[in-house]
Order: sequence, then structure tokens, then C-alpha cells
Amino acid sequence: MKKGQVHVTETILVVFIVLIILIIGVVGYYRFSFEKNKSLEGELSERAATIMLAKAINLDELACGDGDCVDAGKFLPFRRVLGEDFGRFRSIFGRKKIVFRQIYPVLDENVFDVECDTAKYIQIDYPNNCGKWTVYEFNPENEYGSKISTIVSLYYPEFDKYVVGRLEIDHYDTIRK
Amino acid sequence: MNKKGDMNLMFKWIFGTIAGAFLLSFFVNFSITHLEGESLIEGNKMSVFIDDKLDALGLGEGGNVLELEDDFLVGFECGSISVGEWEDDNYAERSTDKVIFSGGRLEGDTINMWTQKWEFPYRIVTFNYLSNLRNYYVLVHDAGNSEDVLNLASNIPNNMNFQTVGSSAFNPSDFSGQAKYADKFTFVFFGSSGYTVEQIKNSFYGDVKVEIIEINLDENTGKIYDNYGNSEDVFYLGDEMLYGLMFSGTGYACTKDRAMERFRTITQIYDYKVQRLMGKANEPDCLNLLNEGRKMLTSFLGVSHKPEFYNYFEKIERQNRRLREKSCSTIY
Amino acid sequence: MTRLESKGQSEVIGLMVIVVILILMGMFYLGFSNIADSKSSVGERRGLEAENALKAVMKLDLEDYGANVEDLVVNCGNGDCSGLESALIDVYSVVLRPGESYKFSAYIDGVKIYEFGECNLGLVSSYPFPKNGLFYEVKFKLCG
Repeated sequence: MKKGQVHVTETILVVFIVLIILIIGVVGYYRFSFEKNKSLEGELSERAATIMLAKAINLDELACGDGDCVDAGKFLPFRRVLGEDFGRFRSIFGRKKIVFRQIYPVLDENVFDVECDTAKYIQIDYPNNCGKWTVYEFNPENEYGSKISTIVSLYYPEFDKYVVGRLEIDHYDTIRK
Repeated sequence: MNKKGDMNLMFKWIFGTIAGAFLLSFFVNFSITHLEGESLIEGNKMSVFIDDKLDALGLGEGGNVLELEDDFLVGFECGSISVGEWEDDNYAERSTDKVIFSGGRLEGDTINMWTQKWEFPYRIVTFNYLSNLRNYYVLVHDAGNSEDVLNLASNIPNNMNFQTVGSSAFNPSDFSGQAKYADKFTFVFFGSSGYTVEQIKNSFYGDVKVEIIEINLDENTGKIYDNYGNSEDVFYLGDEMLYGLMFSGTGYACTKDRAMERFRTITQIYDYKVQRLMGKANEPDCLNLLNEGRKMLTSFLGVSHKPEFYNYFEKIERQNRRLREKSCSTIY
Repeated sequence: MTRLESKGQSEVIGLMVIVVILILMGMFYLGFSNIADSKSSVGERRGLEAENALKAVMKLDLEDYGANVEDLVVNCGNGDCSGLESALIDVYSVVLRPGESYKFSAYIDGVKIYEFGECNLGLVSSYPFPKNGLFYEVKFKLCG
């Protein structure tokens, strides 16, 4: 092979290899960018859920008149109003599940996962016949969620009684609404 | 021999120039695309940041100053928070459930915030009043209402950039110095203004936006004159909404409608709550009082005229007091 | 091999080495920039938990004790702290997560009258209330 041909071949080879490395670098960078944005989405989702924890306790639709507790007498009315105007609340809460539970006084373990609804409400042993109120749920793509929770003061206006409850929020790793 | 060497060199130069130009254009395009994407993310992050700060402040009541990283143009147009001009790369818009009374668009690196919980008669929603140092508010009272106006003013935190003056001492040209640094001047007259927007603008140099609001404290009504002198009649429900009228001016009507939507939602919730409480009431007195309360709430939902709002406000307040006195479950 | 050929080959190898070094540097940079900036919301939630753990319990109606925690604190100020202690053990054993510890202290007009639990570092929340002309304050520290 002539010297010139060898030289040109070498040059072409080097350029080719450099191009390959360049492509790998660009693909790698875009993947990195995509992953970074995905983790940013997850981080924002968790932050939004943390903010929702504080907000949900102080939500005017659910809070007691003095704002220092959550009014259990508003849970079922809120669910009814939610059903009538779901779109608006979906834009406020996003893809989440919001659940309130009574934790003290301790309820019977058989009722821990029993949903409180109108049928349970009108029974004489309410609120000892059910363990949770799911006030909001929107997860159309059945995603797996992460759960965060905090302690709340729950008030039963029917009995003028305060108990200790827990607010649980399942948030899904997306901030789409 | 030399010609062959020259050809080789020339080929290398041509090849290097073409390949180099191609690579350079690729990298420049890559950088611009990346920078545009980052700008968009920055705009969105800023709107999320402001929304989160409003959430935090809304948990209580009070004034605060929000420091932004840089100068931003932030818009609060009835249910949305926008950052930047809409034709900019970093323009971001985010819908919000908050009720924000603001003079429209705020430019700068700080936003002054104040929150109050609106009660009518029960807690309905938190009102957020936003302003900045380039928006000025002047409250003008006359002899008959100076005490009421000064009382109102005493609740407003100092960071909201307002001042009070008596109508006898009021002269628009006194504010021309401040107007040089202002985006907007809002004059709130408690009574008749005696000035038009045009007259006040003529006292100022430059192109400052001027709005005039005339408030009638006895009737709970207001008249807004925009920068072009067009007027709009409005009413308000409670002091919290009056503050909203003062700080939003022409943007008041839409924000008030959003507040009224929340009012209907909360009133509906109380209506349903009282219906359920009636099912659990053992005492006939409590049952009767709750039933009366429920009827009031149902009527309250359908009210549209200002006098009726205040009428039912007092009735429901009284009814709740009666329920409390009889040790019954209360409405709120 | 002539000197001219080996020169060309060593040039290419040199170029490759530089490119490989640059790639490795880039990978290190990307790796480290990914680690930073992971602001967790856990701290904010712990603060909220500490505040709510106290507020909710102070409002709690204790049917077994015929009083609420505020009344038990007042009784403790009058000399009888047994009710308060057993109520705290009862309630917080259920309300807090397994393994979580706390310290509960009560003050009258700034003077400590009662303390229960052990904790050095933690998030503190406070609940003041006036009663019978005295200024009571309860502090709750959620450990960890």
C-alpha cells in the first residue's frame, strides 16, 4: 500500500472513531438529562405531597372552624361535593390518594381497613364500625405510589369529641395533573 | 513531487474546514437546544417556587417578603401564575387554586405578600394579596370616615407599600416623585374622589398606570376606574374582600368570582354536614335549630345580591350561636 | 517499520488516549453532579409530625381519665402527675411509630413542673395555654 493511502486510511479511521465516541457521548448525555429530569419530577412530586400534608390539615373544606383540627363531619359531605365537581379538585390535588384514619382511641382491628361511608355513618355504633375515610383518590394509570403521613387531631361534631388520627397521602411519581 | 504534496495539504485543509464547520454547527445547535430547555425548566421552577411559598404563607395569616433569585416578571392573572413574557423562551404558566389579589404583573426581584383568611361567616378560603415596591397604594379618607379607614389601614402590614392621607390634604402632584419609580399607582378614595384618572396622570411625568377606586363603606360597594378612565361597579363581602379590591383594582372581578366559587363549595359542604348532623341529633331543640340552619344554608347558596348575602350572614351567625348555647352540634 | 509509519501510529494512539481521558473525566463529572442537589422533604415532615403529635394529643378527650391532657397537666401542677404519665404512655405508644421516642415537659410561668422521656437531639414543638390565671406551656421533643 502506498504511504498516502495508508495515511488517508488512518485519518478516516480516526475520524470514524471520533464520530462514534461523539455519538456515544451525546446519547449518554441525553439519557443523563432525561434521568435527571425524571428524578426532578419525583423530587417535585414528593415536595408537592409534603406540602399537601400541611395543606390538607388546613384545607377549609375539611378543617374545623378554628382551624386546629380536621372535622370528620365534613368528610362525607366533601366526598359528595367532590363527585359533583371532580375536575376542579383534580387540578388542586393531582394524582394522589388522601386517607384519614383514627389511631387513638384504638379501634378494633377488624374495622381498621373498613371504609366509612353513609351506610356506616347512620349506624348506631359509628364511628367504631369503620376505620378510614378516603376523601380523595385519582390514579388513572394504577401507578405504584409512595406513602407519607402525619398525625392530625380529628373532631367528631356529632359527639363533640376529639381523637387522634393519621392523614396518609399516597403520591404517584409524576406531577402531571 | 511538490504538486503531489500540495494536493495532499489542500485536501486536508478542505476536509478539515468542512468537517470542522459541521462539528461546530452541531455543537452550537446542541448548546442552544439545551439552553432553551434549561430556560424553560427555570421558568417552571420559579412558578412552582412561588406557588409553594404561597402555600406555606397561606397556612397562617400575616405579611412576608418573597426574595426571588433575580429580576422576574411574574403575572397573577385570575387562577394562574406566569413567569416571563409569553413570547420568551423561559415563559411558564401554572394554574393555581389560590385566590390571589394582585395588580396584575409584578416585575422585580421581590414580591410583597400578605394573607388573610376570609370568613363569611365561616372560614371559606385564604386570600393572598401580592404587590411589590413598584406598585403604590394611597388610601384617601375624609373627615367622616377617617377612623374606619385608619382602622382598616392598621391591619395592613407595612411591606405592602401603602400610605394614608386625608382628602383635605390630598394633592396628586405630591406623589409625582414616587411615580417616577412606579409601574402603577392606585388611589383608593373612601368617598367621592373628585379627580379623574386623566387629571392624576397629568400630574405625573412618564407613563405610569393609574387606577382610582371609590369605596362606599356604608353600602359595601366600590367603583373602579381603570387606566383609561373606564369604570366598573363592584361590591365586596367583608373587610378581607375590601382589601382584595384595593390591591387588585381592575383584576378584582375575576378573582372575586373565584372566591365566590369557593364560597359555594364550602357552603354546600356545611349544608350536607348539617343534614347528617340532624340524623344524629337526639334532642328535639337541637333538631329544630339544625333544620332552621340547614334551610338558611340552602338559601345562602342561591343568593346573588349583596344585601341578601349580608342578611344571611347575620342569620347563620346567630343560628350557630343559638346551637352553641343549647349545647347542640354547631354548623361551624 | 519505518520511522515515518510508527510516528503516524503513535499520533493515532496519542489521540485515542486523549479522547479516552476526556471521556473518563466527563463520566466522573456526570456522576458527581447527579449525586448533589437531593433535597429531601423528610426534615420538613418530621417538623410537621412533632408539631401535630403535640397539638393532637393536647386536644384529645381521654374518656378513661375523664379529662383531656390540658386538665391532666393542670392536675400535675397541683401535685398529681400520675394520671398525666400513664396517659402519655398510653397515647404515645400508639400514636408514634414503633421505635420513636420523645420527651414531654410541662411548665408553669416558665418554671418546669414535669418531664417525661429521654431525648437529646430532636425536633421541639410547643403548646402554650392559659388556665386559672396561670400561663402553662408544654414542650414536646420528637427524638432523632
